[in-house]
Amino acid sequence: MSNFELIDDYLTNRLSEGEKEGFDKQLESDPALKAAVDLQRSILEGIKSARAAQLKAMLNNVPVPSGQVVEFTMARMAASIIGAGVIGAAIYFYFQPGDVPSLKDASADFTKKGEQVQSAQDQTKPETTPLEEVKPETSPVITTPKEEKTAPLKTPSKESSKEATPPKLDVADLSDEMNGDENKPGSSEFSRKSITTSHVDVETDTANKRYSFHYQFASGKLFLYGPFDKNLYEILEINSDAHSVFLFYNDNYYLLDEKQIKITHLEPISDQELLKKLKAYRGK
Amino acid sequence: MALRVSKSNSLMDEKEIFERIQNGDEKALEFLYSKYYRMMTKMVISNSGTEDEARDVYQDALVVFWQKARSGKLVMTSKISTYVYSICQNLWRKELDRKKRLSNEEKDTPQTMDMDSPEREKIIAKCLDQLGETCRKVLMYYYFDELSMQDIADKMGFANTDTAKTKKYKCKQKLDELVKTQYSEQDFLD
Repeated sequence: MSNFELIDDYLTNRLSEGEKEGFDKQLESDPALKAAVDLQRSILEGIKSARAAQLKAMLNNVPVPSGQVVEFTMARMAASIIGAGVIGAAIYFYFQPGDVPSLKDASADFTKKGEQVQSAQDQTKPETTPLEEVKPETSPVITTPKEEKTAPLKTPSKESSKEATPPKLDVADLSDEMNGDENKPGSSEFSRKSITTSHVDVETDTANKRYSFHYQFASGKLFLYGPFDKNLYEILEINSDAHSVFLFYNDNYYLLDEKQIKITHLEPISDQELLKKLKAYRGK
Repeated sequence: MALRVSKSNSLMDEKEIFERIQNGDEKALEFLYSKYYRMMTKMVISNSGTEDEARDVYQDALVVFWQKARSGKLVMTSKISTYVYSICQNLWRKELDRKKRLSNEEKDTPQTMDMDSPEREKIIAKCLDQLGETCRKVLMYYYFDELSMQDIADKMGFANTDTAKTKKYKCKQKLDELVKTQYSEQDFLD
């Protein structure tokens, strides 16, 4: 094995225990080798940082649920789709409370290939997280593995008390998230900013075999059937003389008839004039 | 807005998301990011963090999750959200701790800032850009995602693992040369 490969395998933990021990001894007695290893280590750290930055940049471009409501002014009423004026359009982003970590059932586990079970806590140790600058020996631990298995919401107790002066870290109450109440007043920073004008409650059924892309209004709610967990969807609520609701999903717009109590297939709007206006509103 | 999806569906989705991330599907990561954005950022914001800090912590946590899932070393014993949430908690706690220590150091001793590491990272990022996309991807897949040569060959469309190995070797050599030149110019090397 060449020196290049040896250093590479050493730094990427691909050496056997024996090989690693031998290499460590060699490092102690060979300053030139140590300098080469240090250089390689900094290069590998650089590659990792660049990749992490790349992924973060990608995430920065992802639209996120802000809970904000787009306000339309009276000046825009002339261009209204259906009539006199547009009061507001509320954009909802899909959020699935069933996936919020449950206090009662956080043991919804799946394991891979029968490998040895590890706790999430083990995976977050500083030495295995390249993004951490904090030295492992000074890193406080939030939850014990036992707590980890039951819920992510436990407040640090025994472990954190070992710290001389642990920073205070209250754990967020997710109850409102669990109820799926995105716009509950005072439930978060985001919702405090929002002025809620939409009244459309939405339920989705993503696994219905009979109705693959349908909707209905029932009990004052909008029910969407189809793969609405795959992409973000938006509900555009237009208030004018006639109240109208539109769905935006996968680059298409759909008119949702609020009187439609039967499960109906979603048909994309093809009226170019209407589409133009909807796009204009949505873009504002 | 009340959304209710049956438990079994959500678990199925979780599994699917995890598998897609294991296979390097960045769209699945984006989906995950958007899905839990409010929940994760709220934890930071309600613990003295700003929205920017919350976003940063959440993104860092997802990057850790991505790396672990991709390397095949991660075995999920909880839901993805539970796991990512615990990473967010740890990262934010460490950040608070770091801030606190930094603040104490400012009071007690003259501040010593090590500008070396960020500078080096910048240089390496610049050199990676000069390498071209194929080399950049091969090196990132190998060193960050920790993919096997077989996976790299499959992903990059190389004929076999030998081709992937040779490519990785040459790309790394090229990067080393570029970095050494840059380091010399910046007087990082004696």
